[in-house]
Amino acid sequence: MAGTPPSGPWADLPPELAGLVLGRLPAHVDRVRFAAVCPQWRSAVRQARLPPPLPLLVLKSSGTFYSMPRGEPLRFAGCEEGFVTASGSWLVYHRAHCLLLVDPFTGATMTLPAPSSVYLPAKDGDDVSMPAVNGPSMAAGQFEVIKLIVCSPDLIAALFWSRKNNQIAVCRPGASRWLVAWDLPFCTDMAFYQGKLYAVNFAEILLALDISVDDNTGDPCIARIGHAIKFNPLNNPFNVNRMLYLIESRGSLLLVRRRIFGTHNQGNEQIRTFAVQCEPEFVVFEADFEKSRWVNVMNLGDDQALFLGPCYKSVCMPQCDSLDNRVWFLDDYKNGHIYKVEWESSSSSGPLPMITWRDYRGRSAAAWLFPSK
Amino acid sequence: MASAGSGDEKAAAAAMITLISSDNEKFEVTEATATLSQTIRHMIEDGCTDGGVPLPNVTSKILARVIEYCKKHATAAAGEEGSSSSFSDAAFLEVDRAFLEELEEFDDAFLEVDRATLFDLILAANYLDIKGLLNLTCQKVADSVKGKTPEQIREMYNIVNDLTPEEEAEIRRETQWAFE
Repeated sequence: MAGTPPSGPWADLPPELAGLVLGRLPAHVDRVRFAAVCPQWRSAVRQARLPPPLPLLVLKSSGTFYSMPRGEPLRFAGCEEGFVTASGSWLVYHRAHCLLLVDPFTGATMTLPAPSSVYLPAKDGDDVSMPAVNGPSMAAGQFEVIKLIVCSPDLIAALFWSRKNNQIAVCRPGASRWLVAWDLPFCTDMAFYQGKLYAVNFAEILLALDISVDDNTGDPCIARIGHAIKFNPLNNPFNVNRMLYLIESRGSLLLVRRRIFGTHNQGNEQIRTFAVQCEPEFVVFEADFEKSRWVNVMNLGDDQALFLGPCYKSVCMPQCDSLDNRVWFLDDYKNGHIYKVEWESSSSSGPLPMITWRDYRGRSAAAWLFPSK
Repeated sequence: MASAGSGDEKAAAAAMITLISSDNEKFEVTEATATLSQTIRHMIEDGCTDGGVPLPNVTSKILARVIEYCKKHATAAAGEEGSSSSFSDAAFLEVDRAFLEELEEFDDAFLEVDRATLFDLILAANYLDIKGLLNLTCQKVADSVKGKTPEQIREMYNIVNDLTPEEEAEIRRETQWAFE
């Protein structure tokens, strides 16, 4: 090391102060690079208790990852394009006989049964389970993944699109099949909240799905479906032009209702005009489990940012400089394969900013990816 | 210093605190200015400020800057309190905005310092527990490293890369994507 001048004082920035700086770096890539500066800073990153970093936006067509909030493009070696969806830090790919989950940050992989292996579990007294495709009460045809949630190391839940109905099924990693819920009404979204699986339907009924595990096979299945919230007085059941999202925010379960104005498939030019002229409306409710009702929420809270989009895992972002109390949304149109990220401050056009529209079938051109720690 | 004046001046004069830097320089400041520091506020509450407050961790050069910051922000805080009763809401908002803009300009100019001074300001803000100044300086550092490679950061902050080859390899292996 002869001839190299010693480090200035910055290498010895006390860890708690380095932590304060790190807390102001919302992009995961900036934290990773901070940690690579010197051993002291590396150790500070390990010690720091930080809010979750902002997600990356991943384009299906190019496999390019954009780091939020600056949009710096990043490439992950060995990460192929053409993923089906994303879930947390996982990208989900179709393989011949399975679904393959890849975590680009750690290189970890997970294998799940293929969507063609969806089964109805045996009912009481019946010890045979049967394929859900072509099975009773099921429409014939393929199942496609709309949303996938890694609830725990032993429990994966998926919202599948099938021709006439959406279905929710569960499995454990490495298993050979999904077990679908019996008698579930058409659900538009699901969430794993405080150790429990919830789904919402167009009547804005919140369903609680109890999971039990088969003693013999170890496979999870949906044993019982209860009504956590039976009805929403502020719901107009005749309005079908809306998207519903379940999202956890600051320990509460939120229902986000986004109004859709007609169809979006009128060509690129009009899509753009449409988005500018006709601001989407949305309403946010918080689940009040004790009183079994939705409570209208007017403000997300000062330190909150929601990320919504197709096949998202929605999370809230505490304290990220100027991003607080915002909803970042992916506008993703079926025809144009256009993606667009927009953000609005909550003060600009109402109590809450705009939110996204998404295709039921999850055929999105982009997804949010949330870095694993 | 203790000459007679108007009632206000007297009250202010009665509440002067002496701060003593590590190189033994004395700074006389109002209590309102001094108490932006939670550390000094607690000392005042405990009645340990007679004969001055020694600050062995802060040089006179840095203490002068810190006091400059506190004076400005204490004035702004007092201005807000004082004006709320004597203006209409609209006028108050106007004044409020002007204050905030002025304060922001002051903060921006205040941060135009070299890296060594910035480092000392962070340590002083932390030691004296001045939340606003600590936020301001840490934000300055965060903004300066955003989008920069580790090498650029080292150069900017004069840090020698003394990661071992093993550590370097581990970083590359785990987070190659961040360095391409």
